[in-house]
Amino acid sequence: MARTYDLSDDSVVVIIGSGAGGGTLGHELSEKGIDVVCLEAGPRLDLGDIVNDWGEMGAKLSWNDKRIGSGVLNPGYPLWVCKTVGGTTVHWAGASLRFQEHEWKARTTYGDIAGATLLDWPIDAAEMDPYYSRAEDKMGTTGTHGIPRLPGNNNYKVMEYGAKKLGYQTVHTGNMSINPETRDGRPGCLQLGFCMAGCAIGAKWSILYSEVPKAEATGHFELRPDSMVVRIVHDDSGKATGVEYLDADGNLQMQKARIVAVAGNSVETPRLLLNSASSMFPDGMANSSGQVGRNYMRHLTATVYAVMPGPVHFDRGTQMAGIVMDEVRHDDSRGFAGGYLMETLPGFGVAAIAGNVGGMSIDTPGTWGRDYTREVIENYRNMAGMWLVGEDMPQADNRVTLHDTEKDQYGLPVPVVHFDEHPNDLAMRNHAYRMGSAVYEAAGGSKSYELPPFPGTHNLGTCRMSGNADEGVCGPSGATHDIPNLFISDGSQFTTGAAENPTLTIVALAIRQAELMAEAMRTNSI
Amino acid sequence: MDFSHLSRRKFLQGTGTTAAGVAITGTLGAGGIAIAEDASWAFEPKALDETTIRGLIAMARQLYPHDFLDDGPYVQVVAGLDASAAEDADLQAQLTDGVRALGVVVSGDASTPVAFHEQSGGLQLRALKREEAANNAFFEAVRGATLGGLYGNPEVAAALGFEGSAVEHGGYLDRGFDDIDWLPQSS
Repeated sequence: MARTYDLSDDSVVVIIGSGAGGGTLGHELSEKGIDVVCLEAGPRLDLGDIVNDWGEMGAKLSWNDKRIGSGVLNPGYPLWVCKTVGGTTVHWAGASLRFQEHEWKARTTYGDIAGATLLDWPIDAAEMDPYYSRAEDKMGTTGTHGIPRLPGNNNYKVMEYGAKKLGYQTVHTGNMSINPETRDGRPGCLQLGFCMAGCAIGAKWSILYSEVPKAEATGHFELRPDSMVVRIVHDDSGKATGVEYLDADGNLQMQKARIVAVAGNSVETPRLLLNSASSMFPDGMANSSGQVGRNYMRHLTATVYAVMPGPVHFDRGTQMAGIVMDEVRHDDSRGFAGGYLMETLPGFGVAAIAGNVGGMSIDTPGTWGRDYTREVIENYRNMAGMWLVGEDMPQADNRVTLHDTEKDQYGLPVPVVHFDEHPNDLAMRNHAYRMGSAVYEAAGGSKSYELPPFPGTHNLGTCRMSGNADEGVCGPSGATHDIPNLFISDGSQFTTGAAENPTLTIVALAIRQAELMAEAMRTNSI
Repeated sequence: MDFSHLSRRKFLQGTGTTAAGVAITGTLGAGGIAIAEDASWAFEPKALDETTIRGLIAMARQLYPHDFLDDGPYVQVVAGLDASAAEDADLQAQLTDGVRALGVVVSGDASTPVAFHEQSGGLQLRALKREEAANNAFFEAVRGATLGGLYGNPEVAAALGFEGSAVEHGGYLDRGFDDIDWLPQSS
């Protein structure tokens, strides 16, 4: 039974955000008998709300609150994240890849790269191995725990053929948290092709229907949707004592807490700490290092669409239907540090392709007119597509700050997101464009279009984990260096981004954090 | 490209932009424009005048021409703009003024008024490039509305190969998600 807690109950763990980090942490704690109140800014949908319509679901799921950007890659464009119960696990593609061993030690492996604020993580692959395994089991990740991989769709087959012709070796249908067959109460994938609009049948793992109901069933978990946290409050000793939030009716409430865990994605998490400034913490909570909001990463990304000699119908089937892993290694003979992955990705419908190729690609035949419709739009059914995702460099000035005067609908200062690219990012994207296009050329493609990044989906690093309190916001458990009962529980804690889609690592870190938090509570060290 | 499947439900064949199925109230202007009797996509203008409507239809087609489409889907885009303009006086003025600006043939220092929908295809393109280069909001407003309206039209999208919602059909697991037949088998 889902239970409820009094606002004055100061024994609860308050989790802010119900996405991959917050939702996992909440479920894990509740299974240990620890009482959790999870505050989610967005509404609670159910499977019946999820339809196969890009426009409708974009409007239903996206975090569209006002943001201001500066720098490059449309940083102020609403980041492609979700304001809904389950957070980005509602619209995520499902790719569930572990970091490579060396990616936990980016500073040691890559060396001193000018302009980059690289650190080694204070944890490593051996430490994370059991938590990764538990995350994969929880999520039903294909290619792990005896779960077969998904079948490849047309878009995958094109990429696989071209990649193998080029000599790439590690090419398969990925490690996806999408059921190939019924498992854990969720059905097998029917190859709908709208994964990133939300899976309408629930074959894809999501906090929304995979973790929240289980957490509620423990009797130790209360979810409060439509609850926007505006401030974390603390006592005279500097300990977090609760949070203020606006409830569904817009009334300000105060929930007391023994522990506060922040998991609002990498813009909202540092924004909340900055908005919680007080006379004791004039620069924001947990910010003695000055690192809150800094080192914002969003992964190097790019997209290549190619016109193939015959129909592909790339909308059919799992969107991230397969992967080429050969370029994910670190090999600086390529002219850059770190690596990247090739993952299939279709075009989100004709309207999106018609707008995006003309509006974004470097090598489009214009944006309108007969050349454009003939060369691009009328080739839609023959298009193949891939997304390129790799490690980008953390930089101190890529950061989230608060606007001086602009306020959002809650009366909170609007976040300002600044992002500039590092030369390493540019070199990697060039390589990724070249090799991505080469894959399609090897498969008979006649023309490819190179698109720079879509709005950021993998937002990381703005409250990073460090062994040294001067260099980061939180320590190896995610507890902030400054405030032992205030935790960072989402991708904000990433020390570096690695190349892999981050959700699996966020979930694994949350499972681990729940253990460490429970132990600290048991021993009364918090 | 194979668009032959469209022939089964053939769109009204227009000649260029002059046979749009717009039910314009009042008397037609000069130019021998025939109003199509087929009213399947006719609409009663709410805000825009005939010259503006015909100009916008011509513009939408020049922006995103597809030989397999008749004017119907383009008319639907303009009907949407007209409906928006009925709620938005600034948009109404922007569209009216924009089409009027397109309705000039320029050659050197000479310029001659010719309604945009009555200009030759080549002169229409020249006028559109002139407006695009002027970087005014009108051009991008109509371009954006045409992109969204034309390619968001399920019939147009289907004709181009986007098959729309799949869940009610059980997805593509048994409907060709892996039916590619032109690719050699990979080793």
